[in-house]
Amino acid sequence: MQTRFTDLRFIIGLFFTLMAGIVLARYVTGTGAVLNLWSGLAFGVFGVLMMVAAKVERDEG
Amino acid sequence: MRLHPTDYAIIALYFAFVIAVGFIIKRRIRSSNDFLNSGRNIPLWITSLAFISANLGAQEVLGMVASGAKYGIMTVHFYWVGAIFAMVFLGVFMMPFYYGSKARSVPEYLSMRFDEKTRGLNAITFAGMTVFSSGISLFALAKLLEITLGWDFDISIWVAAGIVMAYTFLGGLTSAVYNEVLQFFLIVLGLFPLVVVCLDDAGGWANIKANLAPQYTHAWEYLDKADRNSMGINAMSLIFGLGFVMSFGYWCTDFLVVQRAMIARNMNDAQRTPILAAVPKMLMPIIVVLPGVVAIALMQPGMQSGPDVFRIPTAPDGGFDYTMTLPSLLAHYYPSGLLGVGITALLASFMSGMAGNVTAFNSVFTYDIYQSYFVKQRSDRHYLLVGKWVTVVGILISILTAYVAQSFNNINDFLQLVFSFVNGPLFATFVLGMFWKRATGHGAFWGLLTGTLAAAATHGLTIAEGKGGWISPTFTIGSGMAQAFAVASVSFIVNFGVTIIVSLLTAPKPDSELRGLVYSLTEKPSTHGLPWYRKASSLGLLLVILTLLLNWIFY
Repeated sequence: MQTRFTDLRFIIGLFFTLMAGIVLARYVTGTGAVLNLWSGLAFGVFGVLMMVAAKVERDEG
Repeated sequence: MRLHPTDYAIIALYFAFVIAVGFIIKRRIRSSNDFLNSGRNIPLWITSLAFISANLGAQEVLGMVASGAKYGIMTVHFYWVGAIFAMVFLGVFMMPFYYGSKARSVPEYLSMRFDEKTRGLNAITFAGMTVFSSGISLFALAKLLEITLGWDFDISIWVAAGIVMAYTFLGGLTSAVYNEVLQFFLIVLGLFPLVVVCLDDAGGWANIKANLAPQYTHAWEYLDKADRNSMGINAMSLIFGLGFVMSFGYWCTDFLVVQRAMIARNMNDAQRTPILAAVPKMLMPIIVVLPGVVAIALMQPGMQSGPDVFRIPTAPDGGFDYTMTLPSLLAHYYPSGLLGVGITALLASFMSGMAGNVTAFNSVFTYDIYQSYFVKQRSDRHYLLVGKWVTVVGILISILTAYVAQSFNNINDFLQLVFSFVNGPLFATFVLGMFWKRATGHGAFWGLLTGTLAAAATHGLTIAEGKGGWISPTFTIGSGMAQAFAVASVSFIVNFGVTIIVSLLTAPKPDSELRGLVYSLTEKPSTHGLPWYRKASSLGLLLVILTLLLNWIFY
């Protein structure tokens, strides 16, 4: 069985990026709670880094 | 607690992703080995995080926060005494036998080392325990969602179980393991903001120490006598009962966690899996114990002011309902949006626990019960199909257990008790089997059986907090936890003694049949030329030192 763990990094990265988008959207449109802002940014940075790591791994073969 | 549509969007996103993982992995499943053992081809970072995540169930997350509020920083003993040392021991000393023997499961190792009856006893009790444990976890989650969010109990059970069924049926163990990694990040990152804000609200650790009784902020100082601490235990029973018997019995023999190391790509990765998993385990008290301690600190006079103060809900008996500490903290501190993340983290912790149980159940049932005793010598496709449908059956039994638990108030306690009877003596069987070549199959079988009976007898003769004493309440023990440690310790000692006596009276296997299964007859994996961070022993030693250091800092 071929298991490409880069796929998992991409999946996790995409999930956190989308989740960050929802949390930040709630900050912008609703609560204005600073906790949503910082958490959303942290989730987003983590998600993007995971996706970049997956892409670098894939490009390097 | 009321959720905003944004919160529901996050929960829906999570459900969509875990099912998508199942579909992605499904295309790669070719054989029963792929479905039940992930083809032994999973990278180290994934096996390590899955190893820790399989243990990070809802009861662990909710329970440890509750314990932090009830007992304070002493709860860290479940990590710094009751986990790290056993995980290092598993990696350094036991994985060479589990992985090197090419056994597909822990019961299969027992059949190679001892005999079929020992395997059968372990396989049947383990399969029963995992599927019932999964059901109890399901019941706990549905009850929690009903109380906190007002969700319908039946819908919660069927939706949650249906999602776990979907991704484990589609992708088997690999799908469960991949989702466990996603769940690990979600639990840690989803709950970390809570730690930051509630710690800040309490004025930091120094202010917490200044406002709490010292027993709540010292891990060891009040353990010299059982009546000086709220756990009702002393250092000796903690170290032997929790730190040795219960801890090693769980981490070194429970297939639910050991399975995650057995699917690594090679021996070196298999050895390092539990050791690398010990790193997040060592730091996990920050996420699951500290919020509990902060919660009880916030309840002290003068710690909060204004109309919007945090309170742990009250139980029907008038005391605090500690189980509700984490949901109450989430409701108090998390705004909508982030609240959805927190609730999803709770759902994730439940699902990782349930999927771990179900995937361990289907491996053991398919290989160690069905293939060993009922239908042998069939095609691999046959066992692949059996493995898939056993997944469905396991989840249906879990659902049934959840409903039984709803009808009978004390069934949870009863099942947890049976689990402790079965798990308590198990480590004696493995440690003798792996490190004493004279141990025989008859010795192991009778040791396990009498150890389990000794556990039941100890519980029946002792009473603590109104529990036990069903034979005759002859001995009174200060706390339920001390009683659990006593039950485990007695069962271990009886199993150890009986296994040795019966082994000496029966014929051992010849050395030629024990190579690769017993320490003295097995070539040690060579680590010559490897850097220190790739050696299980070096990493293990480093972790042991760091753990001792943490215990000293929070003495």
